[in-house]
Amino acid sequence: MSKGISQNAVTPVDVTLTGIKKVFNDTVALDDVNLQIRPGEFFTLLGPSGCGKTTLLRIIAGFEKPSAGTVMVGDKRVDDIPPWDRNIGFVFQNYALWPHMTVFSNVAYGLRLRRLDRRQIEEQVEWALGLVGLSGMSKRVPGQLSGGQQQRVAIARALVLRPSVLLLDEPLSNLDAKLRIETRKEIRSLQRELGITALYVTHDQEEALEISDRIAVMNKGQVEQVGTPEEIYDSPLTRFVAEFVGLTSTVHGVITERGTLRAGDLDLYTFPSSFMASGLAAVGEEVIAAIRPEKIRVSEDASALPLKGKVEEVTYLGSSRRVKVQIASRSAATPPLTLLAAYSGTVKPGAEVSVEIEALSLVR
Amino acid sequence: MRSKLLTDPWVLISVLLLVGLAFLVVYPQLWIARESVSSPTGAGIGNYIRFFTDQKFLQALWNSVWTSLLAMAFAALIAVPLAYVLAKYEVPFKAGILSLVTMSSISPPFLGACAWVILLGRFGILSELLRSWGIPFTTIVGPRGIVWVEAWITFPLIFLLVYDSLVSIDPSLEEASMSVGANRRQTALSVSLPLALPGILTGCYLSLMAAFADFGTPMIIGGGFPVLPVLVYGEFLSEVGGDLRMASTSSIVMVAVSTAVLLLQRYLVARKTYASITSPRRATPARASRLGTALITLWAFLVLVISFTPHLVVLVTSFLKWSFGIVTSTFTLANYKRLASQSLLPIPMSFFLAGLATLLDVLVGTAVAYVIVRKKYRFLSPALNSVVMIPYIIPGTVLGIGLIIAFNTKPLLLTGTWMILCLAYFIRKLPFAAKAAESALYQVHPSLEEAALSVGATPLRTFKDVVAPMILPGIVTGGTMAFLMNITEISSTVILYSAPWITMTVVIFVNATMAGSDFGVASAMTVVLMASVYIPLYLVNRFGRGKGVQVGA
Repeated sequence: MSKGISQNAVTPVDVTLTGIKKVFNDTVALDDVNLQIRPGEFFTLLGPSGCGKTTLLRIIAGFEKPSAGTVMVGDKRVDDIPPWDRNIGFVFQNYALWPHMTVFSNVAYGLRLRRLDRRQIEEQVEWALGLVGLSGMSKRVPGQLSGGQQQRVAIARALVLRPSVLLLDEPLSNLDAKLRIETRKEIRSLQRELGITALYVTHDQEEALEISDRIAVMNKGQVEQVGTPEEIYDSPLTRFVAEFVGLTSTVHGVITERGTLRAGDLDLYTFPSSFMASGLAAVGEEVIAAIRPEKIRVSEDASALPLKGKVEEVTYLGSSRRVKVQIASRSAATPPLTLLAAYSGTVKPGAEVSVEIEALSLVR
Repeated sequence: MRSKLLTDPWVLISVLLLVGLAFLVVYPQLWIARESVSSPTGAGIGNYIRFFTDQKFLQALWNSVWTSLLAMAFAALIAVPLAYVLAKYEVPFKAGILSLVTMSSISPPFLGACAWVILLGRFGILSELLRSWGIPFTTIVGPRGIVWVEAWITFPLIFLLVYDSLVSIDPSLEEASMSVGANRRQTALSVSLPLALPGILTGCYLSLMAAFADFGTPMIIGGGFPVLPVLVYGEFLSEVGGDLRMASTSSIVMVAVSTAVLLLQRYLVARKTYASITSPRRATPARASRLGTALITLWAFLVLVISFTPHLVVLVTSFLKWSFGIVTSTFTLANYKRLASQSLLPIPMSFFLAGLATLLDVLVGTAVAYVIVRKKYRFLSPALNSVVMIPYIIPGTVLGIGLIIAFNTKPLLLTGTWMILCLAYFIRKLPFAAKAAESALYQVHPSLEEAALSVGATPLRTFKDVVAPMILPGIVTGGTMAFLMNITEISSTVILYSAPWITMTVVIFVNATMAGSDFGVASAMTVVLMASVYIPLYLVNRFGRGKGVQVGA
């Protein structure tokens, strides 16, 4: 998939969104979005449906006009430039191949509009189809291709024009699970080799974590957090991010003078002294803690670890198990607490276990 | 707004369309309204008071209402059961039956009336036969003739809509009904028919309005029975006792009735339409018992025979000798010779007028549909949508009168020219062309256009390269139907024509209604007209196949 790319590499540009707002009739779809996408970066907008991520992508493409705010591509302000003059590649969720044109014509259409001569067009189309592994398919019509092949044609159609930015709107959501994983790896390596700035919209957190340089998690028209996949997963800033990306147990508690997190009548976790010294959290403060399943140790010896509990539910996941553990409070008056933990051993519901929280993040 | 005008040429196009259509469609109606409230002594509602107190007008209104309602009920009785069995059972020759019903839906509108007069008029072929068997049958001419003929020419409208609704019902809904223990009949009554109700209601509405606004049929087979379109025509054209003001007043009443019925239909359909998951799966038709299949086939066959009796009668009698208004059994080519000796100019004239009007319908209709479907402008799109649908509720006779009053002075002197006929055809079938383009456009996903924009095509270029080729089959189909209806148009033509701009329909109409004339020439011309309708239809079906073109169904 990669022959002859180097001499065709594009000059990467950055994309800057400032104060983007979008109102449809009376509903606010985007509320003051500010993002800076670096040149050559693979940047993902991640969020549930209706969070505004697709609208934001369509604003960058020029299909929608923002109600307020500016869009900069490179050092050019593009808000008032119509989509056909923006030189942006767009890949649609439903492929959007023109059914009355062959694969060749679909890819060549943009080149023809630019009045390239026939030989150049043929060369370029050949290059783009080779890039996505579809050489030799150029005479077919979209209806004769599989979903995965159609999406490759759509990618070739966007890339053949050497766009300054590649925008992808949930390009894999119509493919089956296995093909989805394969194709996302290919998109990622293609983007890397071309060095093109890419913006990718998805609601699939696993997909986002795997392919992105950085992710913006969006919710209700706002950006909740921007960061590398590691930052997003390991240090979520908000409860929404913690719960949307990966699995998490959320616990409300108070920070005690002894530097522990106290929930109900239990001390769940002792913060490292460096954290207490940093002043990021004050004694007596009420906090929300997000705990990843793999940060909870489980032992079948009911007294090996500091917290005692009872297994409520076991979910078999093939390579490991996920167990839901109800932590026993000291007095019956405090409501019990449940934690999700990853565990590789075999354990049955009802078993008495002990657990320990190894790390957690405080979220808003 | 300035930047939008520059980047979106469709804003300017929409404004031009809206202004143009308002001028052509709404403005003449305002003239009729103005005429209806004028009198020698000044403006007022005197004409309306006269309409609703004078027996002559009231009677015509009532006659129009009851004959149309009865014809609609009769048409529904023919159409709905037939549509149900064809949709749900395996029937031999199903494709053939469907295309024949489609064909009969575009018969020339007065063909039925002519043929049934020939068959069952006072001296009709069948009337004589019945009398010779001792059955005291006099004539079909009169209100019963109107009801009979309207029912048979409008039942295909109901049939096609109901058939379509029935076959597009998600089969799992019916399977669910059977899984909880409902048999086929219970399922039909409690699931299938309620879900097809919007289709039934819309079909009945179309049938009712076609009958209510039809001028040719009551004029030919009514035998002087007064209904509104005939009365309006008389008031408008009669040299003695004619009254433009009362013609206008009656016109406004007709438009008011059509509007009221349209609103009622919309209300009912909106209440009975259920959001449903459309399924790509089509139900497999059930196999009826051998006897059942035979009965269904026989029944469909009978319906088709009666539908096509007029075609056959006209074809046969066009080759028979007529004497003193009575058809004989002598073969002759005299009718065609007489037709040729009068003038053959009406044949190319009809093609020219209908062709040009259809071309305009397709161009304007497609542009309007594009603005309605794709460009969701806050004001322009709904405004265009309303204006383009107005001709639906204007009976042809009324449309004709409006155009004559509005465009009879310089610099807009169109009355008496070919242009006014072309204009009338254009306006009448514009809603049809726009709706056809609209449904074709709904098949084109917006992302296909956005994809073109994203690779650098301007909006107009996108329309040309992506939208136009994709909606072409639908537009060709809609255009063909519009052409067929334009070439058989009579209601506004009789008001607007003047020599030498004579169409085929005028020749038929004059020869069929002139006192003392026989049907010989009318039959001959009707045969020519039928050929002009069915040959193009055949060609489009034949050569459009495989490109998704399917006329009618």
